[in-house]
Amino acid sequence: MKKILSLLLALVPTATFLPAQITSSTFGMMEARHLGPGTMSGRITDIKGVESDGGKTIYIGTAGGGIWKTTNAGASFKPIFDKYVQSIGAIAVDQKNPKILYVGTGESNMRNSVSIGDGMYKSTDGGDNWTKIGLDSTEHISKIIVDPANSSVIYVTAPGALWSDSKHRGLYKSTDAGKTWEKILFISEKAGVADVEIDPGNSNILYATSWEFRRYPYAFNSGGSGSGIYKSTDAGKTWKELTNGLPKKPFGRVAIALAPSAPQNLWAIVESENTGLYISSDAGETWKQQSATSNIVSRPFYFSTLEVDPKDPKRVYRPATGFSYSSDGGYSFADASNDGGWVHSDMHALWINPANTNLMYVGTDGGVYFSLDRGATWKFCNNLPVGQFYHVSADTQEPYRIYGGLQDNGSWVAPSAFPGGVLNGNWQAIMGGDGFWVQPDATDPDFAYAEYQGGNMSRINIKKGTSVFIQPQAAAGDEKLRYNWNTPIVTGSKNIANLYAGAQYLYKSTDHGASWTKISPDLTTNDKRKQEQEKSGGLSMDVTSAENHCTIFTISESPLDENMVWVGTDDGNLQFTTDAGKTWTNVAANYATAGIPKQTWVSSIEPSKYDKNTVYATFDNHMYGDHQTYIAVSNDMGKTWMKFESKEFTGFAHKIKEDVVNKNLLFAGTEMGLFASVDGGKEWFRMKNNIPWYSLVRDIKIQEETNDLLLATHGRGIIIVENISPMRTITPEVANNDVVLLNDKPVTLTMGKYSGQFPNASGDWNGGVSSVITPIQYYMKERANTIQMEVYDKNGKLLQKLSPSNRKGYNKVVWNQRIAPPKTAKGGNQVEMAAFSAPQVLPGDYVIKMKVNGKEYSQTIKLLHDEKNKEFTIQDRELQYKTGMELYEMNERLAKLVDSINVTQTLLKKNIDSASNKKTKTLLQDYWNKLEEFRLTLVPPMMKGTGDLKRLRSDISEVYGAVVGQEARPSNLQLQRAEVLKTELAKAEQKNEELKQQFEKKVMEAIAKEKMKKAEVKRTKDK
Amino acid sequence: MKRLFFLALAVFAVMGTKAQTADDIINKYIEAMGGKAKLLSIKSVYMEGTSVMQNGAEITQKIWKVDGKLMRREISSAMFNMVSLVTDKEGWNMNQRTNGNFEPMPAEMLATAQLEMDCAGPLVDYAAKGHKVELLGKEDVDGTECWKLKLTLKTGKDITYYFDPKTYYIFRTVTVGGFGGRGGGQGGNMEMKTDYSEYKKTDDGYVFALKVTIVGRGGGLFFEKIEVNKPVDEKVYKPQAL
Repeated sequence: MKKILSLLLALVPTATFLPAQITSSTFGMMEARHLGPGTMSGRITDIKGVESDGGKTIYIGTAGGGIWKTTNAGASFKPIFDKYVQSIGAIAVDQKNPKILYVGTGESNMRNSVSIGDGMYKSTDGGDNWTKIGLDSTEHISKIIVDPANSSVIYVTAPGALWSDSKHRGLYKSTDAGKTWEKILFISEKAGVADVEIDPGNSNILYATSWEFRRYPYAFNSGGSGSGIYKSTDAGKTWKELTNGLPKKPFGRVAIALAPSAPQNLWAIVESENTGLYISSDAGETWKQQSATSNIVSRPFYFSTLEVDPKDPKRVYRPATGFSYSSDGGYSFADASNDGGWVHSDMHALWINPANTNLMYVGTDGGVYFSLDRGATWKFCNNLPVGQFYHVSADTQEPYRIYGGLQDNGSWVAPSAFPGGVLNGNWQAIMGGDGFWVQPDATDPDFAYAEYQGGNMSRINIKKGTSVFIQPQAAAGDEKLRYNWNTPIVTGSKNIANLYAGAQYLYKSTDHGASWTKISPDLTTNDKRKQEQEKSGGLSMDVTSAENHCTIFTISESPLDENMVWVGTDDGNLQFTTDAGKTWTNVAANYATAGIPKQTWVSSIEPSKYDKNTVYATFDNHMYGDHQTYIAVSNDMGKTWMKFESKEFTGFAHKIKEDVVNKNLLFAGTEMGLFASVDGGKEWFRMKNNIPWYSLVRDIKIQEETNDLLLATHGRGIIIVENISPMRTITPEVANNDVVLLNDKPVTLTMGKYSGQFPNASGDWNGGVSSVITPIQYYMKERANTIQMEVYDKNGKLLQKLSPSNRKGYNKVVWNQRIAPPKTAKGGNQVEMAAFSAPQVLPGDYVIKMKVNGKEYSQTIKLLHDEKNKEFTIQDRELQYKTGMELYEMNERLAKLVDSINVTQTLLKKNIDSASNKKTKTLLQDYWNKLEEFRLTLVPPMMKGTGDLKRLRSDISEVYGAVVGQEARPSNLQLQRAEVLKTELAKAEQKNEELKQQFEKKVMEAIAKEKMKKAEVKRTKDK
Repeated sequence: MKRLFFLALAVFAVMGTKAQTADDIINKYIEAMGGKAKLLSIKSVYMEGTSVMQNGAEITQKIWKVDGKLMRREISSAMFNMVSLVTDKEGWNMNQRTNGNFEPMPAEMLATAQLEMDCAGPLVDYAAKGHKVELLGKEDVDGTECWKLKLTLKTGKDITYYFDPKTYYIFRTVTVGGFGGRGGGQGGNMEMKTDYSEYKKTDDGYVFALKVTIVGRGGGLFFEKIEVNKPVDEKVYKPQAL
């Protein structure tokens, strides 16, 4: 029995004996900053508003940035889907119970870069909490309808998988508010359902459009026998295909709309050999083609939105390449004007506020716009940071600048930090089109390299705003150059003057792209069957370079040897040279033996900076319908590969990044998350640090001066995790300690940065303020029950009490490098500046004392003068400190003086009220009056209105605030002023003494007399 | 012996699998706080504490509560003084913006602030008070898998609670949009996370979190003095300086 008892005891988890696990929450306090931009947003996939609150509450679905909610019609938004898959296909609000929301994940604008979802979600509290409710394998969902007559009935259209056949397509119906689903219309494994409409007056009547489509890495097809238009009159039990008056099949994608106020009227844009607009006025039984402008019929696979005004059956809207509207039931269309500014093209969503149909919101490839005049003119919502970056780069300026290219939104540069936060206005566009790689020229901060789709690259003079087209051209004997949609243009890691660009050949330039050398043969498989892009599109030709194939996709120069260059292609080749391109070795067959499919896209290569033989790579096979995460390492220059395994991984892999200090620290970005490993890839965890858990992380950089981790997300703009040093320091060994103080590196004193910047205009996105002062850092294995922290000088004098966090894992708390502010004199309407600030301490050693659960820990922290700041020498600092401390003490002396006056006045007041002797009353009042008159020379009176009158307190505070608040030597007049005020203060103290001498004795005697008298009266009464 | 072994295994199995309901969690929380009777016996409470701002300045906070009748909060520092005062009938604010005068509280703010007069807390007898609860499973809060529970108050506003899975004390609450006169303007979107720690039992057996920290807003408030069921001076009810 004893044995069993000990066995049982062994079964009881004893956390204290377990090694600490390093997870995302270990570093949870390193919260990311979302830089945006909001000036250029990202693709919007759906917009739905709540009808019952007049349209104030609106939900925005995005291509890769989750769902954003506004409760003020767009003045501000907040993300509400950050723990789930970020690609949103469709949103529906149950208008009868508007806190109930349905979301279908997986966008259905089936472009080459579209992401996927993992089914349906439901919220019953307006988006605060979500439950997954099925259809997990649909991958793409295009529309959700809640039956207006019965909230339990939900219809969901699933076009289904883009890159493979799938049986998880079709029209799904739930009759129990999403608990269970039934597929009520299925065409084939190649054709899904793209659109559905319900007759609001008769919920048994449904219209649905099916769509046959397929993408390959090198071609797209929209159209086939599976596409059609269907009608049901029994709520989806049976369907009949509508054909009368419609064009000859095959169809491609069909967008359908009905007029809610007259539902027998229908419109359909039918992709076919003769793509056109078709109108029915008899509930779909017969159709008639109407002439239409090019915008009405443009790119049906990509623009599938058609809406009719909720009240006016003649008002029809077609958001597509541009925005068209009709007032005559679709017989003629006008286009929105650009009065007031450019409206981003490529539109996918429209919500018309039924309470005020003049007001509508359109979702474009570049964000949300709203119109107050039925779509004629538009205003941009500049506060939705859902841009879709492909890559990110950084330079070494201070603050460093960030460079990146956005899907359909050009190439941009912004400072990583700005006083008050990086605002939309801080971003500078340097190239148009779709943006991808943007590289700073490390040899000249005025220049950067940028491109638009298909390898159209230029060298940009950022300062002057000029550019030179530098794309390598085919030479005699070369095949026609094949540039990827997202062509790599990369600077050297070892030799920063090297510039590389890849078509099927690799090109190198050492003169900023002015001239190029072809340094490789065709590095791709050059499979001609994958090079028929001119036939791409299906029923509608769609040749945009998006399907260009057999191209170089990634290039990396070894950080240890400029002659060693690695190249990955989109058709599975992984090649390297060790002699600057003279000879090449293809290791594609080697990685395949590690279980990574052949012909997969080599999405990133990371040659190690610690060992020439080590190289990391990511592989992306989703274009063959395989969404697994392939990340691998080779330690023998590509001969053998080991695939990293983790149950944490989700999404196909885009990027692996090795840390620049700790070789065991790795980061991986996938289509569904950012992952980190602190042990060289054995264990991985999802990084959540204020990063959406399933972010589309396309690229990762580490800025070496600041140790900031930069993420190019395809849906949430640029995300910065500032200073990842703790991830290097808190190794599994360190994490086994109960408490560790992590402040062994000297810290440079700083007061931060200021500017005259106005707060951001209402609505503008703010990319957050970067931390300026290095915080005090510590690690705790478990959450502390009690914790205190104090800072002492080297003589043991307490300088400040701090408020440390008690959370488990890494922690930081800012000490402002100052002592506590002085006490200031009370009085007047407002608070003096002096009460907020204190002199910054001098360089030297300071002691951090921390008490955790009663146990003491301490560490000496070294503060340094900023030697780089030539405008503020150490002598300047010493004088500033000395003057600041003198003024600090003057504040406290004045506070003490005013306090003593207040105490005396309170005493006098009390006795004036109770004094029975008139003479005593007069004497006390006289003293009170004199004190009051005197007090009001020191502090301002309390007055109705704004501001305070200038008195000695404000005079001291003003010069004190200026001296201690800036990194500057006090000016000659500030020093003189301090002396003058010191004299004035001394005079005031003297004056108080004089008044005391004049009154105190007399007053005290009078009060004593009064007291005696009262006591006597009391005694008499008692007798 | 075999029987004992299986019995023990069965006990572990039950411990591991039994589904928790919202009421289970609330009951365990109430138990952790000393039990329902103890909580309901709180007729008044006075709390006094300090917090340290990022500039090192100290802020003092004093709170008086009389069950169902009063909640007065005074916040003072070298920089400002603020009072919010709520009775079962009326409410006032005094701060810099009111020029030091006690101004009547807007109706919506009053309705929310009055909920703070509930000395036992809104979770005790929540249904009778007109509130609703929903258990939302477990969620990681700073490395601890907490029980998550949403309380929808009768006013329509809600509080999301996170309970420590070991102690069942409240670990964190999350409110949105001007709760109790804090956390942004009424109807605003601002989310306020409040962490509770350093739970201690008073000499007379009442349990309180001595440290209350609004996440992201500087130092936590540490209560140095807590008195339960002591008489409250009538002047505390009055919209005037004490």
